[in-house]
Amino acid sequence: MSPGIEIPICSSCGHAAFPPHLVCSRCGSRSWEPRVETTGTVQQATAVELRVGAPEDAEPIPLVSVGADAGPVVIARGEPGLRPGDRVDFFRDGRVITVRRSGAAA
Amino acid sequence: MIDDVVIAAAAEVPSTKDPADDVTTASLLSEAMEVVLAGAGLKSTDVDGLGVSAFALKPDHAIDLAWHLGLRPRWLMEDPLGGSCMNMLQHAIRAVQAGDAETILLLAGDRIVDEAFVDLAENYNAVTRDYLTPLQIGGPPGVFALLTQRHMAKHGIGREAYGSVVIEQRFRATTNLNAIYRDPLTLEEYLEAPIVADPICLFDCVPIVAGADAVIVTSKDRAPAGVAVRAIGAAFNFDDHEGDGLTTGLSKIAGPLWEEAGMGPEEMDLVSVYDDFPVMVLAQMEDLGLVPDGDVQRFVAEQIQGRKLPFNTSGGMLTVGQAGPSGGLHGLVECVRQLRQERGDGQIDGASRAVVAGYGMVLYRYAAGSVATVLERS
Repeated sequence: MSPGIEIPICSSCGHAAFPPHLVCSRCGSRSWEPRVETTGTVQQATAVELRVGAPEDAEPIPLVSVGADAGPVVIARGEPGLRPGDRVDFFRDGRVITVRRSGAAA
Repeated sequence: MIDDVVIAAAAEVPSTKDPADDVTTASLLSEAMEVVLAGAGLKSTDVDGLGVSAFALKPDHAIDLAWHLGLRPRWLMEDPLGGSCMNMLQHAIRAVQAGDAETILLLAGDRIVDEAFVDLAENYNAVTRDYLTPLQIGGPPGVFALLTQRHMAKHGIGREAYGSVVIEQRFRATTNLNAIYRDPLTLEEYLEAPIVADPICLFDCVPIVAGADAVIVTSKDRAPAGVAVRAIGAAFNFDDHEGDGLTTGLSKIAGPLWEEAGMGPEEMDLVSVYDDFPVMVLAQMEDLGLVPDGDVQRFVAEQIQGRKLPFNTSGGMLTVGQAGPSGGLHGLVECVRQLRQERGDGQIDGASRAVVAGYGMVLYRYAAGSVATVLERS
């Protein structure tokens, strides 16, 4: 698991976009620079308890929407007990984006 | 105001959670075609335009379906826009006006159950595949739970408000033989239902079914008794997915829509809004201008709990189920049938005007497509 997630920044106007897409919605540029975002603020938090394709007794998946400090809102796996307003750090493990309370060990 | 195009008939194939092995997406669509042609008093040879929305038609496309259905269209479209596939109506109206086709059959439906549904949910688009599916959250309820929480905080409402939407649609479903859930629901039962993702419970989620919907779009000259389409508008990716998800594309459509229709939201006898989750029912009603003071709490108490506003009068997808993109035509079919006074026990007395809104294609955090139309009995 590595700290931070990549949020592309438009090379032309500085607009941050996530998930990454091809053309900047603000200025029309196709040129992006990767920037590693490490922190954000929890907007909403839930836990997915019943999932299509999963056994009924599967562990709930904590799920959060997080306003990255760069601007975009990121959907991530959370940890139990996260609440709106909590400061969190981003982590990435393969394609799984996770957040933890800021200051907690990875 | 549009004054030369009508919907001659509308039909829905009864939905089922457990379709027979030999039922296919194409066979469901053929069944819907048969019923809607009978309702319009037309033969298949009268159809010269075909539009279809189905997730599970592959490897076939619209042209293959035309062959299966024995149609020889000179106008053809395929639209995978799910909940907003009413977008096909926008194209069909212009095609009839331009003379590219005279009698257009619009179909939406699917046979997607069990494993096929899991596959659809996990690979809905590239963003879902790459950013949501790895989280193993099992499809849309998780992100709509987050949206619902945001909506609750914004308007100071609780789960009871969303329960009111479901309870009212269950009440309407008692008159719909096609509904999967046909029993009334109490608030206690709603609040005690298993939680899928807080605050969303089982009754906030649509049953996944196989089924199909169909409408016939043609000129007023050809079908003088058809339901008139007075206005239509669409918005796709209206906010570049940078909003909060509680304001939909309908917020862009509503002003021009009412202006073109020459009517206002207060003049509608019934309303249909896409009901993938109850939160979006309330959000779309707000965007359409049905909550003029923005007080959603009072709107729920007076209009929904007070049963003043007839909405989703078939019971909606929350009771009938969702057969892929057929949910995008479901509300249109119900409103056309209401305005044609075909709804029997579920008929809204004197219904002559309706607004129908579609909402669909969850891009990442919420859906990116919206379509709305205003209908009037001829």
